[in-house]
Amino acid sequence: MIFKIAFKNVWRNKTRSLIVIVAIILGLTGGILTTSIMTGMIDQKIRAEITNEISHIQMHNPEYLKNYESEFTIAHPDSISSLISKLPGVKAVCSHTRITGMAASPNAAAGIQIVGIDPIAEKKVSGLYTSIPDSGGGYFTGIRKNQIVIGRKLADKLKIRLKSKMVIRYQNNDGNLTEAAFIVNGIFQTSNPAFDETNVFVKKKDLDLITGGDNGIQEIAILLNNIDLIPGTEAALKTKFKGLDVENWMEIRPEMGFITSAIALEVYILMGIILFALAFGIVNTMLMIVFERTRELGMLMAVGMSKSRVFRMIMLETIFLTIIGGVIGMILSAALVGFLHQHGIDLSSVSKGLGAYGFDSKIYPFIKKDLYFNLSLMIICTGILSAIMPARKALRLNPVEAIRVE
Amino acid sequence: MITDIMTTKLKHITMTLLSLVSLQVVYAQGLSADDIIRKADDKSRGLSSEGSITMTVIRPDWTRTITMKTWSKSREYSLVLITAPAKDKGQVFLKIKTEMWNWVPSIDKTIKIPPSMMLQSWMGSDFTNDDLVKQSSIVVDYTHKILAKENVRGMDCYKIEMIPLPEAAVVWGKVIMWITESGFDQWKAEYYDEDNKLVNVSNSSDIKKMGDREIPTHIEMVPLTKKGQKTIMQFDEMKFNTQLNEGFFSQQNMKKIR
Amino acid sequence: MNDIRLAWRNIWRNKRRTLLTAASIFLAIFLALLVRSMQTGMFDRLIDITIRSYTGHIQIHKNGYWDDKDINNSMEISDSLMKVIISTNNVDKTVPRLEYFALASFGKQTKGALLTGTDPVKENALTNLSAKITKGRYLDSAGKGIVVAEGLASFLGLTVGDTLVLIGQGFHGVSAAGKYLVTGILHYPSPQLNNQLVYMNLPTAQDFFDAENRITSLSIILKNPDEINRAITDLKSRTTGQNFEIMRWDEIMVEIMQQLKAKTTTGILIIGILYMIVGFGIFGTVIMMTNERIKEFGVIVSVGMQKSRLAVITVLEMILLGLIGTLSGVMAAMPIIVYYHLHPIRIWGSMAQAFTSFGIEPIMPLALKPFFILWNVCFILFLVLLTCIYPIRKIFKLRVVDALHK
Repeated sequence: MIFKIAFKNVWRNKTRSLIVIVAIILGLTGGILTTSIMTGMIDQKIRAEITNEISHIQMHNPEYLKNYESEFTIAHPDSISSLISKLPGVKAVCSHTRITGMAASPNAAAGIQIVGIDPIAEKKVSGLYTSIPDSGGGYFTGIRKNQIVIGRKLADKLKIRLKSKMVIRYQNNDGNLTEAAFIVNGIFQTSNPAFDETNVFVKKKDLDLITGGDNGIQEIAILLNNIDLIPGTEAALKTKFKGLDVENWMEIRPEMGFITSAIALEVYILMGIILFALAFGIVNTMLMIVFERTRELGMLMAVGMSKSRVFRMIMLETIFLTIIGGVIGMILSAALVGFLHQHGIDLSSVSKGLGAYGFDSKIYPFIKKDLYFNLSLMIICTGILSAIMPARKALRLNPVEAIRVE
Repeated sequence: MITDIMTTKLKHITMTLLSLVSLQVVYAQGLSADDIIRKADDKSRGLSSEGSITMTVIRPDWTRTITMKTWSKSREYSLVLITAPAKDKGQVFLKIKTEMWNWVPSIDKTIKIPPSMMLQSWMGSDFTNDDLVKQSSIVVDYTHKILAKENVRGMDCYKIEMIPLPEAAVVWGKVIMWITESGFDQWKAEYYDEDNKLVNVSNSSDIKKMGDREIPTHIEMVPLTKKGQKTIMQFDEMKFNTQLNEGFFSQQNMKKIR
Repeated sequence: MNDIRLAWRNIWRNKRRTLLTAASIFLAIFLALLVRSMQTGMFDRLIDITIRSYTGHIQIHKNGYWDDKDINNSMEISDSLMKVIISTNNVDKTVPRLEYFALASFGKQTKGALLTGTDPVKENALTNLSAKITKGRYLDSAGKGIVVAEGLASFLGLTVGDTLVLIGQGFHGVSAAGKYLVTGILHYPSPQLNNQLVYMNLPTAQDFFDAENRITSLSIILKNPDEINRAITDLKSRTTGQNFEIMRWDEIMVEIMQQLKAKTTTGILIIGILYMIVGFGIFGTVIMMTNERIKEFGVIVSVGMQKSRLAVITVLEMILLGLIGTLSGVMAAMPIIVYYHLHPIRIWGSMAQAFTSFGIEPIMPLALKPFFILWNVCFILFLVLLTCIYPIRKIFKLRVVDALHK
């Protein structure tokens, strides 16, 4: 019975109900939209770093990590790689030769990290080849020997371009100074200028030929099917390969972890604020509504409705309003996030030059399912709980006085 | 009978003449660009050499003069002792094949120069440590072609275009070298990048008798991309093919040499 | 000004309504101020951390030094010129440094190192370098001892008490060589620099490089960072003819600027959502209040008051409510802001760890800036005025007969 009365009350004063509903919708949609945009931003950056630069997990000889001396190779890299690729969750594995060296052009010289790769295996793990624009050449295209792929920043520093020759010098594992000429086959550009300036990529085959022997493997890079599989896979790798050092992307690039925490902090604060504002606002609104209905409520009580029933009636009304607002809000925010995720949202008008700053100016917002439901639930609950205080105020009304109110 | 003798004599003369002519032709053809460069390279080095050099480093706002004694054997061994100015005096540089060491008496320490420092300038000049250690050879790492004969600063020279072999570890797009016709001396060199932009020029002059040969004793190296900068090498004394064992070029000797 | 008195009396006639409406305005300004001061506080803190890591707010070099960091591009600053710089408006402190590369050698190991000659006291005031010392002592102004970064120390195999040999090239090509006693080891958060840094007294470095009275950079800390552009202009005009380049910190630390720009985007989103929610709260309240008073309006108009006058009085009521709301909101927010400005909030948990791993104290102060307080008050009042559109329309559309029957 109360149900029906509550329901009818909701529809009786459209304006009042609409206000509460819209407040909930705004809170929910605003909160979810902002969270998705922030999640999208940070996720994109992490994804780009993992895909193009560091992969999910890297393994090294622990001695190598101390001073990056290339004599500390990984023993039996091929059998280790094939063992790793059989682990569940592992998408692809590839191995790198890494040697510190110098690059020279007619105009300049620079310190570099020479990375010897197998381009075919590498493409399965690293998306770096996708950051070579059409004007930037290719990724070990053709059959020439001694091709090299370098970053835009290094090309500018050395004042060279596609098809230019550059001389690479390094000390091989026996301590002998070796040098050779390479032709620039492709120039890439990631959002990380330091990466672009330091890393040069050559075919391991070519490098071994120049050295006159196997340079060894200093690094194994692993791409997983999903970023959430990292903890499990890391643990498995650490147990299986006790002599090797296993690091995940956060340990390799601690700054990213820092930024992720900072943004997580902001999300918590944001939600806290929204909930607070919402609660306050709804309490305020419901108080107004209750007082507005003093006469009506007074009459109900005078006619015999018990106080607890009046209370329940008001609560039910609020629950209806909150749920309606909540559902609409959830649908609306899901639709908005879905749409923006497909088409991207261009934030460069909000923050000029964002694109030049390492974050893509086009963001693809998204939100994880459990976060989405948690946020929505929290907001709906807040709405409902906020009504308790006003509802109780209604009970304090004196029926006799209430009727007499103008 | 006389006709026989005359015919034979004529044949003789003809043969001699012909052979002279062909000798001439053979001689001219045999002087290929490769040969010219090789002769120039060998002459400037000898099998070994000993001498003293004054190097002047010129910059827009300062100038520095360093004198040194040098010993070298084949392309692989060399020892340099700095004799002036006072702050640098006594320092020794040793090169064996591709490795280089530096002895600093004021702190009694020999250090091996790590690869990362090889491209740093040597003693503040326009030469790098690597230039002194250099493995690339003007003979071996390039193809050579005679472009013309030119007179440069009063000397008739072969103008030779040198294109580095694709696999050679040479940064230049091309090098043009002028070798004097009479002495096979490296008279002038121009170093170009791949866009045919001239990056470095070196000019030699002042031919004097040094030891058993006459060589240019004044070399100026000018990096064109930097204004007001050059390095000048002046050979004060030089003897070639002296008696030097490989044992001379050692870390212990770095500390003893005076 | 009868109208104002009328408006004032009207407000106090129905205390409950007044309070509830003012409360929604109070909430708006209160939350807006807290959120803005939190965001600004965080942002300012990140900038502060950045400039304290090395550059200060402004750096002066010899013109061309930044593109070619050669010791021959060092500069000499006479005492009188230094006085001119220090006496420039807004200049608080300065840190002179002489930085250049040299070879560090110990035993059989040799490695390239970055030597920084600095004034220990001034350096510490900017970067808190002494806190990074892990073994031994910090530099003292009189001594010739040096401090080596951990990574470099462990590569060379040396510790406090050992003598390190430094060899390099000094000013104008002079050979530089010296032996120095290691008096301290420090830990630098960035692994790259942790493998390279050697600190010494400025005179010691000047002596080593034969660069008497010369420095490569002068970092300047301002009293008021907001006036940085003015300070640069002042410095430029007072040092014309010296051939200096005067750079802002964000021209030097470009990559950090990228991250900060990204952060401001999220900040703008958050504050936008907040305004939307609280703005709607005010709007909703006003709607309900208006609807409640329709009958009252009808009576007034039927008794003879002109609609336009009624509208004016209603708007005046709203303005007064706005002032009460914003004033109380500011008064409530200020103590909180001031308190947390002087006693910054302590960040906890994994986020705190992320901060400390970078050598940054995990605190977040709230920013106290009169300007944004004023701005927010004006904005909220503007919103209040906007909401007046609803009651004004209702008044003008009023049909007395219908109104009286509500």
